[in-house]
Order: sequence, then structure tokens, then C-alpha cells
Amino acid sequence: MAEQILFIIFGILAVGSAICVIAFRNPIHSALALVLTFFSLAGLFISLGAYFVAAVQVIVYAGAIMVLFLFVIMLLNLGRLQAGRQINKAKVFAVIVGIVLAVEVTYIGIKVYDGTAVSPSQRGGESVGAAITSEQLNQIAAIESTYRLDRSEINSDYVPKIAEQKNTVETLSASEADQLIKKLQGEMGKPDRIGTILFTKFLLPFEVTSLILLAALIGVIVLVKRENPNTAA
Amino acid sequence: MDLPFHVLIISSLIKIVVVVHLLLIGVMAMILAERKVSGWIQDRHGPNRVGPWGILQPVADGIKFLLKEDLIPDHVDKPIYLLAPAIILVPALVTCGVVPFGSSITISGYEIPLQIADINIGILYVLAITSLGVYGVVLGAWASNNKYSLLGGLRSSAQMISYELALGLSIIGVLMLSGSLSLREIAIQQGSYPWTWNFLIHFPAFLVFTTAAFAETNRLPFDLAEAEQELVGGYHTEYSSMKFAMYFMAEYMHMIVGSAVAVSLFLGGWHFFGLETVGGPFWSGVISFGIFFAKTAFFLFVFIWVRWTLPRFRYDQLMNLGWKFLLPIALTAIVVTATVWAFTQSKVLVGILNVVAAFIAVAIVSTISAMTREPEPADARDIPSFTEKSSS
Repeated sequence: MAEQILFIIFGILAVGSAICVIAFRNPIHSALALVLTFFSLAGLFISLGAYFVAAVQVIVYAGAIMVLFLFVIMLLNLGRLQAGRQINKAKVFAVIVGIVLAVEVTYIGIKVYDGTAVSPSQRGGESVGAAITSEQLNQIAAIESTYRLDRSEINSDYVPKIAEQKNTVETLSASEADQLIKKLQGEMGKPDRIGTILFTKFLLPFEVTSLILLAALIGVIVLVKRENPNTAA
Repeated sequence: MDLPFHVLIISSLIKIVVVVHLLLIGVMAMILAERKVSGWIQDRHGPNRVGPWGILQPVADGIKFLLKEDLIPDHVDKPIYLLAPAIILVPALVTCGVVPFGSSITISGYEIPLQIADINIGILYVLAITSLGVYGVVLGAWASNNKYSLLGGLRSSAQMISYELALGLSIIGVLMLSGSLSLREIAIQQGSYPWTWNFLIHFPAFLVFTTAAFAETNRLPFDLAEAEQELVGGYHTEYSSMKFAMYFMAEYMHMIVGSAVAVSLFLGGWHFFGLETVGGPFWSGVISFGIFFAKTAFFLFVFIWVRWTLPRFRYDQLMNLGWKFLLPIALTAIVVTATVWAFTQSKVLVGILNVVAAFIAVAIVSTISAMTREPEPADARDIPSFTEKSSS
């Protein structure tokens, strides 16, 4: 419930400030609206239980990148944009891409709502005492494989916290299994878990990303560095 | 640990109210302390007219701020000009949410930890929020539409971004050895005795953290943002009355919160020779809070002490110190801590080798920078110039 309220608040904030980014005439105001967007995204991450990602979102985007944006805008001394300037030839293209994306989002939304994913509350309402469903077992198995968890670890560490007498996943009821899945998902947002999967399962993408960043860094240095006329001789 | 919901809500509310008020009272105490200590350092009396021993001076200052005319210059960007002082106060206020002020107090059977929220990303939260402090400065400077303000703001934000790196890196060694991001967990792991606290194990990192904390709060010797002789008042030149006071308060709040974070990271939090376990479940909590308070007060005294004894840095010296000394020291500390810990698991060895490595790093860096030195600026005014903002 609390997550849903947070989601609504931050969702509205994110969309509203994103609209402000393109609606404001003053580039500084737009940049500030973008900061607010990043903040709302961090809020959304928190409502999903991904605290680490939320903190990184604020540190990297709101704290570092946007400050540099503001710097550049201030140093280049960009004033107000002229009123007519924003209507240009790219507008037609933008409208087409926008429509395609909107259709895509609607399609996915309908497809998800149509039963590939049933919300936990619906299922819980139908059968309170029912045993754990195969779908929930699949979900748990998916979490296990993603986060390199052991079934025995879940059984010994997490199951007793949900239901005190039980110590295997299979004996849980459907509603308890929902709680367990939720708890596991929250647990997996912790920094040590993210570190573990980042350096095991996603090691290659991680290293590739760092190489790309390194290339960008070297590129900046090469572009900016000029031969010093005094020492070149 | 798991409290009933109503106890959790009520205790959290009480803690929030108490902590916020403590911060505000702390700001008042700091204003008095700053004036008194500066007086002693300069062989003066300091304020002694308002109330006994000048103790009501902060109240008089506050009343003065409230009653002064609140000027809003014509040429400012009004929404941002009004927003900026608020933006700089918020990070200072919300950071204290994760600082552990003491162990825990047991009231009618409920063990209430003396910390508003113990989140598992504790120190990352602190870093994230501190990195937002720069907005208040840079926006206030820009919205004032005044070249002195803008220059001050740009200087200060360049400084804050540079030193934030060293600040973040200096913490990593501590995090590696404690294996947790929670400030509470880090404080607990340090134990009761000063020789087991982190500031000995990570001495170079502690120095880097402290120096960077000075820079982050824009205090002397790093207060180039408001160098009076050059920039009038820097980013708050155009602010008057309570808005100026908000900038002023934010500086002191940043100091207090920064000191509290430093105490829990490096100075053993609320531990002191086992004194924090004396007394029952209630009084030990109170004592632990007192110990934490005393340590923070000591750190704050160092802030004031340094301000009134060191001269201001020149801009290029500031950047040199940040990028050529603090950053390499912090990086060396990370490498040494990781390597030594992986092979020996000995905190003593980590502590000794950290210091040795820091000396070697400084020696190498200063040799290299002496070899590739560019000619010194002709005089102190040769700071890098920023484009002025023309009045549009």
C-alpha cells in the first residue's frame, strides 16, 4: 500500500517534471526540472526496494552529471531560447516516434494485464489457505538463478522469518509465498547482493561498460589536450 | 529490533523532532562558540554584552536577521533566487536521518535505537545527499545575476565537486574492512577502545576525509567561494535578512552533520572505554549519546580552531591539493587496504602500511609535479577566469 502511494507520487512527479524539461524556455530551469526527474526516478527505485540503485541514481545523475550540465549552461551563458525556434523539421519525425512508442507501451500494458502476470493480491484473495502454486515456485527459482542463491539458504534464512514453524519453501501457503517473494526481492536490493551478481553473473557487461567509459575518458583527454607552444620545441 | 508499528511511528517522530531541534540549537551554540573561540585565539574577550558571558548572542543575532528588511533585488531570477536558500538547507537537515547518535534506549520494554533510520545503504545515502548541497550554492549564485556571486558560486561548486571525489574514496577503505554500508554497523564494529577505532587503521583516509569535509562545508581555509577581499560575499552577496541566515545556518549544519558522520565512521561512534555499557538499559543509552555528543563537539572545535589559525588557500593551490595530493592518497589507501587485508587479515598491518604508503604516494606525486611544473602565476590574482553572466 505504502509502495503504491509512493509510486503514484513519484510517478506523477517524474512525468510532470519531464514535461517541464521540454516546456521551460530557460535552459537553467529545464536542467533543474531534469534534476527533479532524476530524483523522482530515485524515489521510484526506492518504492521498488532497490535502495542501492536509488542512491547511485542520485549520486551519479543528480549529484555529478547535472551539476556539470548547469556549469556548461552557465559558462556558455545560454539565455532564453527564442519563441519560434523549437518548432523545426524534426518535429514530424518526433511525432512518429512518439506514436510508435505510445502504441508499444499500451500493447505491453494490455498484454501484461491480460493474465501473463496476475497481481499477488488477486491470487491471495481467492485462496488464503491454499498451498504454494507452481507459478510462485517458478518465481522463486528465477530469483535463485538471478542472484546465485541456494534453496537451502532460502529455507534456513528466510522461510522461518515468514512462517515460524516451517523451514522449506514447499510447505508454505500461497499468501506466505507471496510474502517470501517480496522479502527476497527486497533483500536482493542490498548492496552486497548487487555486488555479488555484478562481479559474477554480469561480469562481462560490467567490464565492457567500464571499457566504454575508459574510452570516453581517453577521448576527452585527447580532444582537450593541446601541444603547449612553450614546451613543444 | 522489530518494534510494533505504533511504537515505531511514535519513537521515529520523537527522534525526528529531537534531532532537528538539536541541530538548530547546535547551530546557535556553534555561532556563540565560533565567536568565543575566535576571541580567545585572537586574545580578545569575544561577545560578552548580551546575557551572562554573552550567552544570548545567538538569540540577538537571530532577532536581528528576522527584523532586517528582506530585500529582493530587481534583476534576480525570482523563483530560483527564493528556492536556493531552501535547497541548501534541506541536504543538511536530511543527512542526519542516518547518523547513529547512540546505542539504544530501553523504554517500557521496547529497545529503541538512537538513530532515525538504519538503512542498509547508510553511507551512500549520506554521499548522495551531500552531493546535492552544491545546488544551493550554484543556483543562488546564478539567480543573483551578479558577477561576484556567479564567480563565487562557480569556484565553490568546482571545489565541492573536486573534493567530493576524495571524500567518497577515503571512505572505501573503512567500508572494505567493515563489510557494511550502515553507519550503525560501522560504529558498532569499531569497539570500545581508541586503538581499535578506524582513525588509526585508516589514518591517511581519516586526514583526507577531514580535509575534504572542510572543503565541502566551504570553511576557511577553503572558503574561496566567499573570499571577501575578492568577491564581496561570494554566492550570498545578494541575499539579505533571513535568506542570508539560511545560508549561514546551512554552513553550520553541514559542519555538525559532517562531524557526526566523521565520528561514526572514524572515531568509534558512541564508544569510549566501555563507558557506554555503564548503567541500566536506559542510562547506558543516555551515556552513549553523551559520548557521541562530546566527540562531535570536539570535532566541531577543530573546525573553528582551523578556521582562525590557517590562512586562505589560493585557487590553484586548492585544486592542486585536491587533485594531486588528496586523491592519490585516498587511492593508495584503497589499494593498500585491499591488498594487505586480502593477504594478512591484520588490522595493525593495514594501519602501519597505510601510513607508509601515503608517505610514498606523496613523495612520488610531489616529485612528478615538481618535474612537470608550469611557471607559477605572476600573482595571486591569476586565477582561472570564468565567463561573466551578462544581464539579459
